[in-house]
Amino acid sequence: MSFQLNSASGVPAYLQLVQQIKQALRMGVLKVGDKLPTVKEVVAEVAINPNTVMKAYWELEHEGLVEGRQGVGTFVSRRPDGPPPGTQARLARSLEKWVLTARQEGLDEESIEALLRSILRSSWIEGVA
Amino acid sequence: MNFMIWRLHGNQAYFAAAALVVLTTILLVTGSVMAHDYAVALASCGATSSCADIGSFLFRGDGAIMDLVDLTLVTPLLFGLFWGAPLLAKEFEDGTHSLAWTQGVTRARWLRTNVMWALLAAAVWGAAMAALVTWWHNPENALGARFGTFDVQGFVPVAYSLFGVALGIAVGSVIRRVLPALATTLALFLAIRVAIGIYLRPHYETPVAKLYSLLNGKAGQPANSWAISNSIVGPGGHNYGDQFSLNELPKGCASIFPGKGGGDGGMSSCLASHGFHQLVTFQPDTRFWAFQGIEAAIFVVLAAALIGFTFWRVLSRDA
Amino acid sequence: MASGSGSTTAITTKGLGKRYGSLWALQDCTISVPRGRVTALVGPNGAGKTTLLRMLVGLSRPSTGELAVLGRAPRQDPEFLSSVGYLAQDVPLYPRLSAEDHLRLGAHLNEGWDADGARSRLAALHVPTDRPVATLSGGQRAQVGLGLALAKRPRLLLLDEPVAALDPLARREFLTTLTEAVADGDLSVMLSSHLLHDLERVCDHVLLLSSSRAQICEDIDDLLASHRMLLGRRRDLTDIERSLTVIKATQTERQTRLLVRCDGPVLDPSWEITEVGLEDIILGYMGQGDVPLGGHLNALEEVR
Repeated sequence: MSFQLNSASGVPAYLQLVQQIKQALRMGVLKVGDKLPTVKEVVAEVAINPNTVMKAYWELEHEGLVEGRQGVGTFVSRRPDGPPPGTQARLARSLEKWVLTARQEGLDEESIEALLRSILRSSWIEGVA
Repeated sequence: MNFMIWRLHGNQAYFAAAALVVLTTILLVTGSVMAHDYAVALASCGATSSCADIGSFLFRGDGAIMDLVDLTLVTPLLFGLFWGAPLLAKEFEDGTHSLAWTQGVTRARWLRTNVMWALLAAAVWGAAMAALVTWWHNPENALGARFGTFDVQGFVPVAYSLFGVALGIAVGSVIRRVLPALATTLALFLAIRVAIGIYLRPHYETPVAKLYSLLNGKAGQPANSWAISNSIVGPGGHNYGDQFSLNELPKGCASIFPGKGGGDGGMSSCLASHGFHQLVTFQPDTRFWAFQGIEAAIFVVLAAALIGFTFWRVLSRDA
Repeated sequence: MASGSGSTTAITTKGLGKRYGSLWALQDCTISVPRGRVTALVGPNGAGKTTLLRMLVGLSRPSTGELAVLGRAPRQDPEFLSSVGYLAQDVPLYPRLSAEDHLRLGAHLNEGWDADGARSRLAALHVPTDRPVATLSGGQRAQVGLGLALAKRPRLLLLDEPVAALDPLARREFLTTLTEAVADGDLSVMLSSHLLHDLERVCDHVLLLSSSRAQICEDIDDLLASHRMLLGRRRDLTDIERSLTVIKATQTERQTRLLVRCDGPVLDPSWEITEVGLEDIILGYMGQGDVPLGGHLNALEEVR
């Protein structure tokens, strides 16, 4: 498990860690019972504030995804809600295919992103309505 | 704390120790030879009752050694320049004061320890040198005017050394760069030493005044004393200083011009016959140690004042 | 906090000011930094960052106001001095002494000196400890300086531009050493820097000084959560200023872009709302000039 931080995003660093761990759980990189790296290990690897890591772990613990065991470490106790890991992988493959088609049709990365964002937005509004 | 001093200033101490060893060796060897020669000469002149001019046939040391001894005059200044001035100025210049003053030792203790060691070193080295030179000068002192070498023997070199270091430290606390602090220390040290030597020292005690006949010249001035002034006094007690202007001369003597017909052309005898005398003021040799004590006290007090200033400056102001 | 001695704030100041002659280097600074935070001290040159740090460590005295560091006023006693670690700008070290000499020096000057920890950290980074520090690289010297500050086992560590002169690798190594030390125990840190990207990873609290005054002093997460960028067609701002604090407004002929501070969601659908990174928030406040902490002043910047 390794982390990456994007500082320009405006998303608090601890939330970025939370999202990355959740994504790893969804993709099956992390499984129930796995031990998360200790705060010190994360800090030594990516030079970030230890409080940020702790806050991320607390957040995950609060959501019931991980469980801290005194003096032993933090362990994955549950996968996040949502379809099983296979679904994600399957959807990723079909999205890949779609992106390939879009490229062949002459869309550049920017237009693909814009298209995706507008679809996400309109489908969210439909879902709400 | 002491470890820190040693680690930072050990080299200076080694260097000074080496210089002292060299000086000691030279002075011990030449001084022993001189002391021996003096003893031998004294024994032989005693046999023939001709000790009055013992000085004329005595080995008084090589010229270079004499110069070396005279050069010990500047060591207190060197202490000021190389131990005193950089002590604080170097810390400020390198910014290391902000390292030193944020350790678990108060600034007051840091300063106390540093200043104490610098003063102690100056006192020890100064005392060693002064003792050595005073001993070396022993035969010379018995024969000639000690006042001539007042500055390099007795207690004063110790006091000058303390003063030099204290002055350097105080200057460094104000001027926070090494080179300007060195230059300022040099200038102030010289100015103060010279000013006190010229303007104060002759007046530590009222000079002894004696009137001499102009016909005898200065022959009557006590041997080895320190002449302070020499002037002509008229019959009415008026002091003419050491030079007359023409219209001050008594009428009978006005026509005599010195240099004509050899000597002063009879001027001295003419003046003597008109009741003029020579007035000599001097500090007798017996006052030598009293003067040493007074001058040493002055410089020790100055050093103390400078150290006090340094503490005030460093402790009451921002680093 | 694990060791509950002392106060819960690392740094508290009230109306703190420092004047040099007739010039105020820092003015009316009232802040409170909780313990355990790593605080980014940011602001333009001459904003008073060094002045503040020097007052916190007791190297200089305030002209006005009060300050408490770990619950007490900075003072000249060994206990206070050893509880605060300080690394001054440009990492002053005795040039002719080696790192090992410095460590031994520190051992003589401090109680509870952790020389072994410092030695093993320097060894892990292959910093030569037997050579005069003048011969070391900038990054290595910075590590020696940080090692000395950490060997005191301080409860507050103050670092003045520690990474400014370092290359990216040395900077990363320096920050790793720092964050590991924070992970190890009850340590609060305040470090000043211009390198916002570094600060954002390492810090969880930010103190912004600008025009000799404190403009922001709060947790970075709260700051990110409460600030948004609004983008929309050009319009009059009086309405929006009633419900939001506009930090910075940029108006072009057709568009209005606002950096705002808001406590709840922005409901007006005519704005495109985006999250803002720390750098943009800080730059937004820096352009402000004289805004007292938490103040409401709406700077309007017209752009052609």
